[in-house]
Amino acid sequence: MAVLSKGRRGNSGAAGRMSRWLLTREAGLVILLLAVVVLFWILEPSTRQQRVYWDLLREISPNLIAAIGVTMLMLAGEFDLSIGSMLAVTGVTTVVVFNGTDNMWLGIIAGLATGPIVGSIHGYLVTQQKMNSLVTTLGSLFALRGMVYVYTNKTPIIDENGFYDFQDAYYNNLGPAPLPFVLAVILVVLALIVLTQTEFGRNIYAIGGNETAARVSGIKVTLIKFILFVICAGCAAISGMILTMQTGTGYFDSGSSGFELIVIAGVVLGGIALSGGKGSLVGTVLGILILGMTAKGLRLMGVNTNMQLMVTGSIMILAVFMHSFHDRISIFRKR
Amino acid sequence: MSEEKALLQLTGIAKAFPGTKALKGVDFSLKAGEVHALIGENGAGKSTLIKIIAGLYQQDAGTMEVEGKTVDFHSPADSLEHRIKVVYQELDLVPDLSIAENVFLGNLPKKALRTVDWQALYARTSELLLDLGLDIDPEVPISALTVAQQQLVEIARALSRQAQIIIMDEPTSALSQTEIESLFAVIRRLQGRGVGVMYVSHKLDEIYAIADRVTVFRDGEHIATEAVANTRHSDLVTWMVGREVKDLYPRSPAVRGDVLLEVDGLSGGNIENFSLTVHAGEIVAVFGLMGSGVHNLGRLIFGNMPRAGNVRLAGEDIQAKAPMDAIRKGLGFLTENRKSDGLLMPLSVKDNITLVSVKNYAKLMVINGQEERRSASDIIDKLSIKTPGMAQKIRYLSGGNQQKSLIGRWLLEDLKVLMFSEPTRGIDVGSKAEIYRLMDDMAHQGMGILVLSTELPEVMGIADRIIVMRQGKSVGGWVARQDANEQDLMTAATVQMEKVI
Repeated sequence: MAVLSKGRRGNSGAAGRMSRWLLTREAGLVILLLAVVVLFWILEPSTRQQRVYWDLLREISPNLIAAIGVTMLMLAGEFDLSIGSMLAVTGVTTVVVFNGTDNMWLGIIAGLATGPIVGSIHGYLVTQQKMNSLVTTLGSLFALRGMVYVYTNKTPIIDENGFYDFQDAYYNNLGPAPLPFVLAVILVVLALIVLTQTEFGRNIYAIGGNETAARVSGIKVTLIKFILFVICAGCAAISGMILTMQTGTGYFDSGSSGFELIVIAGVVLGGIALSGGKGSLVGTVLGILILGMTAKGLRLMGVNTNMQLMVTGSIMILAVFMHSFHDRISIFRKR
Repeated sequence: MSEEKALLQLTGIAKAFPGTKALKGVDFSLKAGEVHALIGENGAGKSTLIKIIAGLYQQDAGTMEVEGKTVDFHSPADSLEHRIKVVYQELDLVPDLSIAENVFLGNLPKKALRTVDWQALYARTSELLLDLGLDIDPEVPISALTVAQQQLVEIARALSRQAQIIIMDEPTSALSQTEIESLFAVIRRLQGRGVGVMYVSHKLDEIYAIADRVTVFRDGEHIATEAVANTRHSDLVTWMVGREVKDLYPRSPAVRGDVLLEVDGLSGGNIENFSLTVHAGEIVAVFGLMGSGVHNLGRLIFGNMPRAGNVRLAGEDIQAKAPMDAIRKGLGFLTENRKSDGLLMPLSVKDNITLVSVKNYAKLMVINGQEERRSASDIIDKLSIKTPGMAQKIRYLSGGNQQKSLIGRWLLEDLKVLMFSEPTRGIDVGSKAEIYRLMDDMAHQGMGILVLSTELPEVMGIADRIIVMRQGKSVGGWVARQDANEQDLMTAATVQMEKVI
């Protein structure tokens, strides 16, 4: 669970802490990630360069950021399947406002604003109208994509002004680290602090663990869930912004090849329970890294995409097996 | 009312739901340092009243006063603010969070930057737990605790909010006798500090043990409020049921036939080398405290828990790990978890009744609906299941009628032996008597009945033979109505048993 709060008591000392850490979910994921890295190190010489890893981190930043929101929402026991379509909504909105106003900042603000707007609609429907979030956001997955198709007539929206500062932000580095990755790290750390060290964060776990208990304890379940929908779509909008920077165009099909599923796969791989209340953001980050590294390694090896699907799927099943195994041994460790 | 100021005063509370009037203008008052019991059958309106006090429902009419001031609760937070805490029957804890986080749920101590003050959290929780006589690490997750310990955590939660009014909803339904004693000790200490406790229960014995006053509700109406010392057991039952229940245990011995169920050297879970037999026309009860393994016995015999040893039904071996085999050979099992193991809540009464037997109405895999409905309707009549119709969703039925539907499910099979684990848990007095009568009927028709129970009066009242189980082993058998008395059975079940808390 709370990684930052580990090791406050009990058998102290580095050895004891180490052996207890090895029993956690995250330890298994770290080992799996290292195994994937080592495997490609052996199989594919090009992965032995540092550059490959910085590229990887740049490429998976959108996934990481979107996964933060998805994780927080899933911890409270709710879903958002529409994040893939959100990417296109944000991208198209951003570039359309670029072209309409000739102002880069207005475009960025408008693009990012789409997240909270869509998130509020989800939040309202789920918390006030008591609609199921899985079905509601499945609906908006199609509806948002359809809106983008209708508006763009399936043609990419080109940035007529050519805002190079905007595009550079994707490719620039801070020291050796790609800027998008720096942003992702900042957001992850923020979210981690919120989840583990604030009452808001602990209440998210409480809601996912036992919603009735949370409600009768005076926790404002409805409000918290509403905020989480806004955060989730907001994170997706930031991801969409990063992808728009990468190409400088508002692309109608951005995220349409199963972005939401890849992100949710990473989150689940990281150990977030589908029923909510269980798992950590650290697990999510590791899950996204494992899937990203696998895909990248296979691509560098020139393995065809069909094969890539197979390997990625198998790794996911392996990780889920690991989690269920972990749950079983945890039961034995109790008293 | 006496001259003492009431902590909580409810007057003329009414609440209606579509189709029913749950409360028709009831009164209830609670003084400081008092344990006031609220009793009534299922559907009497007890839970509705609790939910109104907890701020989960708003009353349609009537006033609620806390310490003389009229209050209006719109959410649980309002109720908590007036230092009212409900300890719910279904424990409202978050299993994967630590004890400490559960105790302070919704109320975590914070540092300057609004981050959680873990040190204060753990220190204050430890203090509260020690106060309740519970010496455990507050960082342990709730899921690692026993039910009794979880109950204490719930009470610690009430104390953490300095509750002055604590409402306990059926707090002992999953506790053993020793655990109940410790809970009562805690309640008495709270009482000493001036906390008012509203104690909601089905179990009349407990009311005599702990309560000062008792209020009875029936069908949403206030029937009586009396000092416990001035009421007789039979008064309470009459008030609750609205008529006299003459014979709660209608057992009349039947002709004892051949051996039907033979269990020989059964081991598994915490059970070691357990043997018993049940003859036709006989009701055999296995009595044990919580944790004695008495509930696992049913699962082992039925085959949904790995076992060693032999189980024979009318001379035929029943395979381990195959409940289907047990059913086919004529063994039925009603578990103690009616909700999770037995009922299909979203489905109708009919579908629940015909769940096991539905294969009998199928030709070429197509179900003959008419025949199925006829069977279900027969069962509803025969067991007098109170339902507006067989299409009613089973979740709207009372606990007693749900249990009868489950019995009906097994009666449609040609059973030789039916096992009941906690046959009347959470069921009101009136329905209890009916269920015992059904058991008696089945025995008279030549079936064998095996009852697994942690409730001594039930075991004493219904069984022909009683086997006591302690720590997974048989510690002796008694013939009911001859050599069995409560004292001996309880001693057999408890001696050498470590204190649970």
